[in-house]
Amino acid sequence: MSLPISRLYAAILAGTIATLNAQDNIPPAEIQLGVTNGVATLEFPLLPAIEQFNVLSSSGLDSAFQVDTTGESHGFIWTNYLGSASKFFQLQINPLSSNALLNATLLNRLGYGPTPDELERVNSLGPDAYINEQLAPESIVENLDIDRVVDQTSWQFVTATGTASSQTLYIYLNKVGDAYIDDVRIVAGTVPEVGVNLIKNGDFEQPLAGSFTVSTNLTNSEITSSAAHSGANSLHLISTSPGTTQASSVWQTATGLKSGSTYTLSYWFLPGSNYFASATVRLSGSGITSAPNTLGTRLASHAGVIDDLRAWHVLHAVRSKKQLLETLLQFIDNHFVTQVSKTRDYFDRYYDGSAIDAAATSTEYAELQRWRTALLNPQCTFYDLLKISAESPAMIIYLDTVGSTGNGSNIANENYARELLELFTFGVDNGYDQADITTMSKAWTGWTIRLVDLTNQFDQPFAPQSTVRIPGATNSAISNLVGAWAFNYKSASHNTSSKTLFPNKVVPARFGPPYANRPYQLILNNGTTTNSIQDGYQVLRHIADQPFAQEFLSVKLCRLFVHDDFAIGYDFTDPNLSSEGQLVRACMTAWENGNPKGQIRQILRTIFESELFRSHGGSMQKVRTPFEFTAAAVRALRSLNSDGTYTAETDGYSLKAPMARMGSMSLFDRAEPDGYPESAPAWISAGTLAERLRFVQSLLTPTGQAAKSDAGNSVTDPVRLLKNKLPAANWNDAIAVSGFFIQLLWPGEGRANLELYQEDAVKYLNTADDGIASSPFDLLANTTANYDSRVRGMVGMLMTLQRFEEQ
Amino acid sequence: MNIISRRSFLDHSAKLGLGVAISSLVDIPWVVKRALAEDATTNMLGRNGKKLLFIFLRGANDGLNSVIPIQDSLYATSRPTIGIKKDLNTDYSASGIPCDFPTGAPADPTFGYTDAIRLGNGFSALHPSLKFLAPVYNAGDLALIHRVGYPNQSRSHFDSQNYWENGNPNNNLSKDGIFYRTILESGLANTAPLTGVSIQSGLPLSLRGSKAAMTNLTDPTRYNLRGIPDTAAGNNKADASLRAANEFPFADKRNRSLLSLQYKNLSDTLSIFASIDFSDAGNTYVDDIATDGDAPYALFPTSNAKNGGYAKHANDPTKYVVDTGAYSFFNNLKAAAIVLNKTDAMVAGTELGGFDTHSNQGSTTGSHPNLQKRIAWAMYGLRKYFLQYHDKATWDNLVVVTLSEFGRTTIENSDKGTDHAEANVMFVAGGAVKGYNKIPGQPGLFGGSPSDKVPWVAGGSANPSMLGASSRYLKRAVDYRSVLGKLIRDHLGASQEQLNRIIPGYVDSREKLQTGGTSTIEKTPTPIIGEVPIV
Repeated sequence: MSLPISRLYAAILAGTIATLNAQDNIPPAEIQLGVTNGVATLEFPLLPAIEQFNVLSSSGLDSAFQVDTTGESHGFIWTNYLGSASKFFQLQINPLSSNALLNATLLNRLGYGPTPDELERVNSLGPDAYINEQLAPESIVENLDIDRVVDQTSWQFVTATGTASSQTLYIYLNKVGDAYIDDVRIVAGTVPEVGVNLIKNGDFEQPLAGSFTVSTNLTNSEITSSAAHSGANSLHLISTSPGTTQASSVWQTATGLKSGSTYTLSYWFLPGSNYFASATVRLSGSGITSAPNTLGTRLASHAGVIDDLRAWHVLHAVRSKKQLLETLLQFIDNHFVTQVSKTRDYFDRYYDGSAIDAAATSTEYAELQRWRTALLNPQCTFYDLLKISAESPAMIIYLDTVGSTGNGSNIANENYARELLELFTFGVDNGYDQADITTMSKAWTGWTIRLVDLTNQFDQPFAPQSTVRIPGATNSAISNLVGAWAFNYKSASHNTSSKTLFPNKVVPARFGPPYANRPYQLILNNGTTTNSIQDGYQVLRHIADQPFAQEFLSVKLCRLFVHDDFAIGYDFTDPNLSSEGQLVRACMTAWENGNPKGQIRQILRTIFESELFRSHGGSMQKVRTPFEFTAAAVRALRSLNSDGTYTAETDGYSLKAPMARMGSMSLFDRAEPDGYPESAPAWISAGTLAERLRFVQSLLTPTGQAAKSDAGNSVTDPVRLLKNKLPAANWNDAIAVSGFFIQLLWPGEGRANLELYQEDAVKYLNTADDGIASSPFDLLANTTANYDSRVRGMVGMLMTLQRFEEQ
Repeated sequence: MNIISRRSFLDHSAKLGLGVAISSLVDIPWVVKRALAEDATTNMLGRNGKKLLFIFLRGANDGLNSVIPIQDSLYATSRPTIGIKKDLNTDYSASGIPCDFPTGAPADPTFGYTDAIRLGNGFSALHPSLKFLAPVYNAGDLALIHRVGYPNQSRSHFDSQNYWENGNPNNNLSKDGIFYRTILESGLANTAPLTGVSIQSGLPLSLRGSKAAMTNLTDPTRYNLRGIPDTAAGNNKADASLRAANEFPFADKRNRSLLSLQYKNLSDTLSIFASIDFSDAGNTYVDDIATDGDAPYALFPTSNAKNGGYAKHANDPTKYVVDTGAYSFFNNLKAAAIVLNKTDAMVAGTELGGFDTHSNQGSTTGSHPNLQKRIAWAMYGLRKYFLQYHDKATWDNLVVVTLSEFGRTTIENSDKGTDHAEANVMFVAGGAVKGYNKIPGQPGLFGGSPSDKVPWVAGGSANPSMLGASSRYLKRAVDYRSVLGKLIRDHLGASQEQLNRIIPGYVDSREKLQTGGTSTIEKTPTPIIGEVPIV
């Protein structure tokens, strides 16, 4: 069939297209026009972040072009029946605004993905204000529940309301140790301390005998006047073994209690000299249970286990406004990787049961909190972070310096020296060789750990072992001592020879000025006394700001924030240096010119202000890690309700198993010292995708159904979310509802590019559960379970699509 | 539709001269379809039914405590605490005899023997934890290859693992894998539904590449999708939407073709795996003989009850054949074996981590011996599985090969451990392997004895032993590419031309991979043997 169209004009009217970056491998816009049987078919080009395609037409070149509404579009295909007529076409391509594009990148990269509320806030704030806000986390006001650490030196009020299933009240400690309890009350109803107290002698002003029965593990417990919340006395609980039930508690039968009725239990709690121990006061059975410590308090008091720390860490990622700080903490923790299960293996020689986990967890928590404090300082440098890692008992155990000796004929363990250069500072084979590793390994001999008094936890490498016994302990075994694990230096194990690192080496020419040809030899000669600890510190100080470290850390930060394809080894003197190489160089310059050198915020600002980051070169170029994926999935649907709850929530604990299934990502427990990868190929395979999809489906499944087990206590309410945000008139509008969620999930992609996703979603909403029968969405009553299920299914379907893997 | 990947897929199919109509020939094994579709040519790769199972020993196995140069006097002095002692009643210089298979003390008949196990070649010994290699070795189905490495060895785990997997030493720009290229050369990629499979936490580099999707399963028992509601119909509805959306075009970005390939791979392979029982309950594979006088042991120890004679001896841990931490590895290994046996996949494998033994690695017991028990029982169990339960894979058409990034220092450090070094041991097993006495006089150990083409020189007053010749670093005598290349060509059936593309080092005359000699690209070269006649 011959064509009546003589010419095609495809004109790109919008100027923003010109900012597409040549390095992004974006193909040139290619617009196809064909005519078959009188039907013109226009194929739109595939370009990033397109909001709208408009086809304009005119009957002749001398006529004005008008928007053509006679055609039909389906995704990237537009058709128009022409018959025997002829038309001239123009294609108008409207890209997403550059601010919207950048805001989406910011929410995805500086943090763990957009929430509906943050998306609104950042769109009104503007990208640069958001960058400035996130670069100064110390100025962000926030009081998260999970950060609340209860003061361990004053009385805490504890209360819990529930339904009684028995009459027996237990009071016990979860560890060997002591604590004070006062004013135990159980009252009818939901208001604590109001009404008749059903517990006898709950103010502990009388002797225990006659009101409470004391089990043998608590037999040292006593009424004491040395502390009291009210009156003159309190109960001083002293436990020689952990309690769990009536036979290991101080207990009383409260005859006034009726099973099935609602009561409120309350009491006051004061930690003892061993603040590891926390009390449980509860009714027998599944009635009312209370424990005084928050998650934050448990961790701060070294009583938390690793799953507590994991939950706490991912809850920060999900909830905190300081998103960049959380992203950086995960990056730093993963960069200076340690492995909690190896720490547990080490502590197994001292502790039993959950105390092993608690001791190992305390080392992970301590380094994380030191990094947090460091990063809140505007001038925090890479050296600061490196030093914290080197002094962390978790690292000293993980890379085997803890047992490394170099005195006499002993051969030092090379593990830390190698990974310090290869993975933590210089990058593999970047400015060092095997001889440097062997030499440097001698500098780390004597860096070991010890349980010290709490006041000696930091910056006291010669502190003696703690001597404070836990009350109730019968001897001074390590497990019976109060204290904290800390870096400790043993000069007797040190190799005291003079050591020359990087002998006669100079910075290679490829680094260009000001670095090229700088000598960087380091001679360590600190003698045989305790001063030999300086070997290690001089190494850290010397390597932290070398150009190799500047390059490697800049590359890793660019991979984190921009895209995967940065590498060490650029020739910085090359006039045709790639834009990736140029960005790395700009980061190094910011590093080098800082005073002090290596300020993290100056390096980050360089990245955030770069064209590569702000343009399509950064947008949607990375795949989410399992941590990022699970946190982003919860956040995507998490909006504040008027009653203070959220439309999506997680307890943190329930994200552990999904993350492990998506490729063995187990926070704080990476076996290999390179940390979890940033790049996509390591995470994306059919098996891991299946787990990602199953997690999303389970996350969207309502509570109570069998399929909820994968996501557990991570829950969503997409209907409440859409009702919060959309006018009621749209609640049964399939296009409005699907469009709303698509905009939440992919704010950086552009509506036109998502049109086929939306068609799929609309079809989903208008189809019965069997996937076949028509079931119009506008006919579903929007308060029914059927409507709820339809919306959940549609949102789940969208979040299992390829684009949701990206950030 | 991912326009980019679909295009490359079609291009590639066209180049291979493979009609799309072939895919409509159902119920015919892929290898046969290939034979129907093409005239027999010079190569048989992908058409001879031969298969390969790999196990990557990550962290760098201490090969000197696997295959021990027990007659080298420097071994004992280099390893005063972690070294394995000689049995005073055994003559280790006796040669031309089978490997010993000692029974230990009655308290622990399985592993009670704690001395070096005489290999029977007059020089070498096995670590006692490798006891169950002996039956495989004595059947001639095991080749032990010592002093394996590559020129200018990196001592970085990550670089060195990359080089073993991409087949290109000292080249980090080579982003696709040696087994991926093998499968691509076979012509099966993108035409057969399943070609290369790993069962582990993520797809390893050895199977990665941009032109075709290889398949990794993290947990085969969970490999299915669910919908909302979670009913058969609801699941179909979600699946249909997903499949439709995955066909949609998009502008290119980094990682989008990867996502497209793997999403399509997911959709394509769900039904294949759905029909296979990967469960522990379905793991009914048992030995055909009784070890230690017990009822036959399970071949894949995936739970206490299946771990040696444990269940039959009142839960006695001394009857374990592996440690209890081994179950997830054997679950993965079992799945890899089943995949090879029940599907047309040509390559499958998994990994075993924990070999980075810088401290307290153990002598006769401990972390390293525990890992070695897993290696030995893996080889033993795989052999018995494919001999007895063979379907699409037989023991004769399979080779099992281990990889590990480097060896460890010959001299132990102050932590009773070993640090990163150079050459290491490879284990190769299979019915087609030409091991001990398979051909009369054929050795079972290559590269690890004084009678090799590049001999192991033992220590003494006059000689610096191989252990001490280069400080603490055992030097390469065999290149890992010569081993894998030999298997890919002479077992899997690649032509030399194909092998030259799969392992580019083969065409570099300076490397001497095939014939052996002295590499001219190595900074401080030592001669290498070239290919060894293991198949």
